[in-house]
Amino acid sequence: MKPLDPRLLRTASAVRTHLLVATGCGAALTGLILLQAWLVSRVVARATGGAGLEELALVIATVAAVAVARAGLAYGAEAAALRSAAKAKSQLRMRLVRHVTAGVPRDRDAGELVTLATRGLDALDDYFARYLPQLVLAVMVPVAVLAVIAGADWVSAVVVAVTLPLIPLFMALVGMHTQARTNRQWALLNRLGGHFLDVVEGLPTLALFRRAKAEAALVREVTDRHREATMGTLRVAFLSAFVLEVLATLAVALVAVEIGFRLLYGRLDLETALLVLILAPEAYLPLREVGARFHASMEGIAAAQQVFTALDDRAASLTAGTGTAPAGDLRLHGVTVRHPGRERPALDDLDLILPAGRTTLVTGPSGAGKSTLLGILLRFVEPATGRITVGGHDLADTDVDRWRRTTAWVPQDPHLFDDTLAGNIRLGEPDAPMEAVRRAAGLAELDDVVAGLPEGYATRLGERGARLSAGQRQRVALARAFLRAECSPVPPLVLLDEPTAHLDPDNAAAVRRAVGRLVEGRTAVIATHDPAWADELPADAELVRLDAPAPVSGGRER
Amino acid sequence: MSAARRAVRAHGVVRMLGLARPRGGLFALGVLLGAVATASGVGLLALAAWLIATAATHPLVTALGVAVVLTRALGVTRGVARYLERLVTHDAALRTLADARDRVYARLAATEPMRRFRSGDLVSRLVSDTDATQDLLVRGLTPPLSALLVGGGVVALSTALLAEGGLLLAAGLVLAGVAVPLLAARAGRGPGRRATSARAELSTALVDALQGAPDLVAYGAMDRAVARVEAADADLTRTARRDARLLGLGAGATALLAGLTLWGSLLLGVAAVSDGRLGPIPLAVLVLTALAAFEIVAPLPAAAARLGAVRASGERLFAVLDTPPQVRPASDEPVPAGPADLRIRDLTARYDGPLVLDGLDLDVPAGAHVAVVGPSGAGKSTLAAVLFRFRDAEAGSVRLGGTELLDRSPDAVRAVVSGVPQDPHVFDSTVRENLRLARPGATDDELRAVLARVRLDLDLDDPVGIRGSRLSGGMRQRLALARALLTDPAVLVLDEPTAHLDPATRDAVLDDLLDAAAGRATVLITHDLAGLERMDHVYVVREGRVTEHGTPAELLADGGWVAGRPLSRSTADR
Repeated sequence: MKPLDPRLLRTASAVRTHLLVATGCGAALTGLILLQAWLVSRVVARATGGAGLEELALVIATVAAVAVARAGLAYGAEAAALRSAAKAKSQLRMRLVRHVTAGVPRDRDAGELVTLATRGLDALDDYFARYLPQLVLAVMVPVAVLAVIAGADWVSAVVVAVTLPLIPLFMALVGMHTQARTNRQWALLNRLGGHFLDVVEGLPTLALFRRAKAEAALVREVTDRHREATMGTLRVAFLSAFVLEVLATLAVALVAVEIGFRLLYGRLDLETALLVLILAPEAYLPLREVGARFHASMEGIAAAQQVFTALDDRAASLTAGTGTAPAGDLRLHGVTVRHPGRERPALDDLDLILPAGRTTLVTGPSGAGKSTLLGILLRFVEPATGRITVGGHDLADTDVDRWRRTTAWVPQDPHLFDDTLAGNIRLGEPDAPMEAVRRAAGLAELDDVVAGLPEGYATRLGERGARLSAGQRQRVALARAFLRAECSPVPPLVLLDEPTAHLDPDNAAAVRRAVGRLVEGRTAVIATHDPAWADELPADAELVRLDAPAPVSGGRER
Repeated sequence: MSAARRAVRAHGVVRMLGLARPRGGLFALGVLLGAVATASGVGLLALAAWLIATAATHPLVTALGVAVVLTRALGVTRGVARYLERLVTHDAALRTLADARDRVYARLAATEPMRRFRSGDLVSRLVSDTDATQDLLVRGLTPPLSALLVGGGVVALSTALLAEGGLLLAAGLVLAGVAVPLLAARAGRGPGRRATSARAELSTALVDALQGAPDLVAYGAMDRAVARVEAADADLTRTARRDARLLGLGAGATALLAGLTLWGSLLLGVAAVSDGRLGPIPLAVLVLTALAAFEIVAPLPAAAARLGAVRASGERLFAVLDTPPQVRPASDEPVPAGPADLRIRDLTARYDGPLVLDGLDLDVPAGAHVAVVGPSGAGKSTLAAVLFRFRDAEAGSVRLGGTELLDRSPDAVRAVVSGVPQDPHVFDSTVRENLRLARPGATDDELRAVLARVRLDLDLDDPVGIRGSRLSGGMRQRLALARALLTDPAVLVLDEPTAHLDPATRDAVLDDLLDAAAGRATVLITHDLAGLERMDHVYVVREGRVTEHGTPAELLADGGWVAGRPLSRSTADR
């Protein structure tokens, strides 16, 4: 992993500012470190030479001034770094959000993206505030210190100049040697760590089979193996810190002894010797710090790289027309749809007529392409081949947003937003008057739900509509569809996906009644497993059966 | 916060440290090694200062001999001691973690059915809380103790050289090592809280925009959702930028204290040299010791910043460890095996609030299949928990033949009553290991036979994945039933065995479950009316009591809860 990802610099302008500030602070801090060492060695040497408090007052006062300046700089650098970090995180986050919300909705793990955009990016705080400034210091301070030591005592400078490069060299060697080994062991550790979670989660099952006590011994055994494996990893992982520490301290010890002897033989004065002694550890300190902070900060870098990976994933583009939304019979002419990464087409050369003003019931087993059919009608998916026409006009010539404004869609598992009930119903029609919302809610059998909410339509439904049951959420989605149907400029296309799957009998009955009202007299498509729906629909409803192209074995998941 | 409450909260940390007591010897060794490592660093500079200041007086070479050897030795001891300290403390912490896991597991096993800890999120948090003990011990226990040891030694040395110098150093170290970290942690709490609430708002807006993307795009509302994310992001960023001012204070204060202590040492030292109370050599040692001493307190801010999180972990951990068992001790005398009638009379149970079961009567004749249906929250799952002896009933009786099950220990009852609990757990192992849980001595032929009975075509060596992720929902339920059949119970209890299955799978699974249970007393608990016509008797439970019961035909005819709800069966191909 690179210590400084160039994509991070390009993507977030705040990072460039931050680097400038960090470099400035680093330079000032380097100057103060050198100044403090010089002042201290001077005071001690002059006092040894017999100088009193009055003569040294100015130098000692300068030490206090340096202390205050270093503190101010430490505070300012940290605060500035955290401010830059907040800015950079915001820039990355919003780029990510704009990128993934653009275009057609894609199948992806939303939970993972949310974690990445919040907690994942927060790990960048450590990277910006702790690691980057230290990296700057790790470059500047050793060079500056070495230059000063070289000016004061060239033999010490040689010792430092020889040992300093050894540190990164040895760390790289140790790192290369241990990398493969630690990777293997971390994989084992993850597996063993997962075992405890597995056993605790399965405790009711273990208890039921009277195995809880026997399993306790196994937990102990696995945990002990976990400990041994961890220790094996740590013995190796701590080696690089060991090398660093030994080299740094040993070098200081060698320098101390060397200047001691030169002092003894009068080839060096006390002030210079003290200056070298004080500065020598300072050359190694930033390297040790940067090593210690490396791992914590790499989490942030990993998160940033995940963001870049997500940014590289481009949405499929739609043929975007500009025409107004046509009306009339919907026809599919030889439509084939392929989902990326799957061999079998989701729809294979499908010809279909959806007559205007009537309901078409599309049944078939899972995987037959029912949802894909709704997807192409919503223009979420583009057919690989074939055409869709509406009243004879090609759907691809129609402006996508205008077309969607004439569709009313009720998905299988509708998403309710952390907003009021009225806001959720108004999703597609934010300016619809309250009477229209009430009418839509009534048609969707929501009246009893509204009555049960503490603030009626103004009640916030919580994250994912947590306040409501699955059946109630389905009815809110129906109310959305009723409202859209009422506001649509042309007679809308009603699309329903498994409206009653997984609902208890009471809710299913209410949803069935509302669906009956919604499809009446409108062009509608109902996709469902359940052929019993045929009995609920008007007599002129069309029945279409889609078959999965490949044989389906029992016990497949939905 | 009241003083009493604060005492309780501090308790969490203290009790977590208490977990480490059996490993006291190892930790003491770790503290000692850590002290040696830190002392080597500070001592190296102090000794070097003495060496140089002495050399400046041009003594004989032999006067420096010991110091030279010691200086070189210190150059090595620091790295070696630090390496050993890390190994020893990690080993001790991992051993303590193993003890903590033992205790958590044993307590959870006794507090079944762990209703409160059942959800995956809570369980994984509990597991990471257990792991937090390791973090506390490695970062929170040994560094402060080592710092205390070395800090004391360094202050003693400085005091011996110059009393006021030692006092000054002590004050500086205490302020930088204790006061500043604690104050910084406290100052960080406000920003932490503000960031958490701003982040929660952002997180909700993000969930809505990403998870609700299809709904938003279909209804043309994505722009508004992104605008909401943008507003939440701006709010979080503003809060973080404002609070950056507070969070930098710790770093600044530590640097200030270190610098001012050095300044004070110079001032006091030079004055003492002028007075003739201090020689030039001790002056160099005093000043360079003050310069190096702040390395001792460097790891403490990180320890203090963790205290809050560790305390919260400790509270959750000890809430589990302090939970009393859910089942009173009872007789281990075995329940006679063999077919018998199950009679439940006047069964009453509650969690902390109102009654969940309120005088429930139910009969399961030997060999009969009985369904318990009703809306969610009616008390059906509590009935299953009582039958499995996951929890005690408040009153009433559950008799199997002539035996009162509520007077027998959970393990005695589970030898004759078994089945499929809600969300049965499939362990991350092979099919064979998952089956042998129920009967450890079973032969492969027996296991294959039971798989055939539940119509599951799996190889015994097939891995099932984490939580059975390599199996479909229907296959997991079949595997769970196969497991239950292996125990050959007198009464089989199936708690919502078809939840989360699609209609076609649901019907196939239910048919096969009931076929496999033929001739065995079976209680099917469900909110779903599909397949009820295959049952011998159906009980409708609402608000903790039976409101109607009869054969499926009777219930359909009488116009009650079951009638009017279609017993819809998927006719889609299976």
